[in-house]
Amino acid sequence: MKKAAIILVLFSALIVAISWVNKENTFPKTHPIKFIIPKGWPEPLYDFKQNPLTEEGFELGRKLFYDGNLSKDGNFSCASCHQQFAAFATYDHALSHGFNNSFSFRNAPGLFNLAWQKDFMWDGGINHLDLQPLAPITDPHEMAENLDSILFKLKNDIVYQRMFAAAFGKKEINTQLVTKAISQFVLMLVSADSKYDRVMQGKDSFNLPQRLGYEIFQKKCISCHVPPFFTDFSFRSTGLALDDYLKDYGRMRITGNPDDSLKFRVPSLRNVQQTFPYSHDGRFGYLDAVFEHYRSGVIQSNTTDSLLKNGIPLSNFEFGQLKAFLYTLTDSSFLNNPLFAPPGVNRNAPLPDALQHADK
Amino acid sequence: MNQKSILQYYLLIFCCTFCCQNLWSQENFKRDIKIQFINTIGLTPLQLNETYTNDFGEKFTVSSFRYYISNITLVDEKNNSTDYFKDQYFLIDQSDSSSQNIFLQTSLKEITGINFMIGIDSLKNVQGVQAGILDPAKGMFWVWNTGYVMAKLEGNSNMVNAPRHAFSLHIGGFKAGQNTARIIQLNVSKHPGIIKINADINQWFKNLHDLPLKENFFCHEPGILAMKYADNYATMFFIQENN
Repeated sequence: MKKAAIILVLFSALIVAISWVNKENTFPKTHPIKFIIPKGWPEPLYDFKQNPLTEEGFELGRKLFYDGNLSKDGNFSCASCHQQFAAFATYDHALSHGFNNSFSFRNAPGLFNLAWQKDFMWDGGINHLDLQPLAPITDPHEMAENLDSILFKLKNDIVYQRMFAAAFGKKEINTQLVTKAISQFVLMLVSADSKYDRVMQGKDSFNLPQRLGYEIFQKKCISCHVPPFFTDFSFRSTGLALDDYLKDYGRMRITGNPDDSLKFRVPSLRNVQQTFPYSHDGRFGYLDAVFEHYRSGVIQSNTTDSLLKNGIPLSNFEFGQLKAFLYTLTDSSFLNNPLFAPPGVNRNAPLPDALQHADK
Repeated sequence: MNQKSILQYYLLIFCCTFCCQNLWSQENFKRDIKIQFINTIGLTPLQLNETYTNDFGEKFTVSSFRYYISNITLVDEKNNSTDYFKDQYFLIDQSDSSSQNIFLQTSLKEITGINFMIGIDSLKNVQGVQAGILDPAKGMFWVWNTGYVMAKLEGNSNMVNAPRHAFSLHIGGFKAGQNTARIIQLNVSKHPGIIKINADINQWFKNLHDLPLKENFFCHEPGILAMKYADNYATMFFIQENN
């Protein structure tokens, strides 16, 4: 009898414990992804605690990134302007094509190493990575969609219903979860395996033009294009003429401060071989044009960067050497990583559980 | 031990766990308080798309009027205590009457005043995408220059020199030098379970700054003009004595 009593007590305790601990947790567990910081790089700025990376979240983010349904007419996904082979910039386009034959306002930048970036866009107007997708999604010249409509489409899609539940453990789809999923995908776009990186790790060596170019780079470029990101993320005026159609004053649009007139973010030079045309409006079609601007085209104004008072003196030989070095920043394993390709396109890519469920 | 006592033991444990749960969840004694926002033109309750006249004699209609209320603090001066409602955000929307009532629970014995913010504090402007009433899909958010639109006033007036004679005042900006959130302090003289707060749209155009519709009909970015509107709308709230 005593035994029965003890068993009963233990059993009741167990029931109480289970009902307390496990009220809603009926969704299968997610599979965490460890974010790997390349050797010698600083801690990322993105707060992963607020949005822990999981295979399910990443896979959902990848599907959203490649889904044209996030645009008004179904034609424009994030990836239509952010192409993997162009380091997630738009290949060979000064401005990108958007809804209804329109052009974007600015040149689409490459997407990589975003976990270390504090604010976004050429003018730094967006202060959190999760917020970034909302701008192109709602811009009438880009995806031209509104958030309510996207949420409606996603909520009525059974594959998305399953993938959101798998990624976030609840039967809910809202703006916050959509953007967190997209962040999970783009956060994984880390480019740190170029020839330059291998040389720095002692695994490879520069040839002569590359080495000479690296020396020029260290003398004349490095104070703004700071390794390992090849940008200091600051906003500077490089003495570009104002485009009288776009009338883009850059950072001043955000701060309202005349001291910020014509200042734009220093772009990263990683994968620069793939991200042409260059500058915020894509006015330079190739690297020689950029070098020529620094050599002879810098317009002096109140806001022109003090480092460019005399432009940057460069000889024709240096053009070639500098280019040879900059091409060592091309990270082909990043450009070809099947993990970042459209879901289902490359069957060699690992297919986490969430997608396998979704395909059925 | 007979079977009866086992059953009693079993029941006792269950009773205990339930009691404990209830004790924890029922914090002291709290009572309900309702805060009602009544949008007005002067003292007249606002009706959308009716014609009104502002202090400059400009006739106008209102098609949309929305603003965020946050950081509410109820004050009990007599007992020297306050009750702060952290992380509670409300979007007052003229087209949705249920949004105009805020229900809170307070342990204060008396209420002699109420402080609140019109707008969203800077913290929530830098923490990425929020859910619920702060979801950017609510249309009170700027995506190209991060930040909440604290208050929105849209309508028409023949004085406005723009398509459809439409004016649209989207007031936002949270950074230093651009902040359009304002703290409002009001005295509550009576002590009812309901606090009725009027919000007079006429104050948008004229109080601290003269902003006639003829001269200003668009505001879509943070900056000096938005701050002027913010100074003005900070004065629009009042509690009507005979309510």
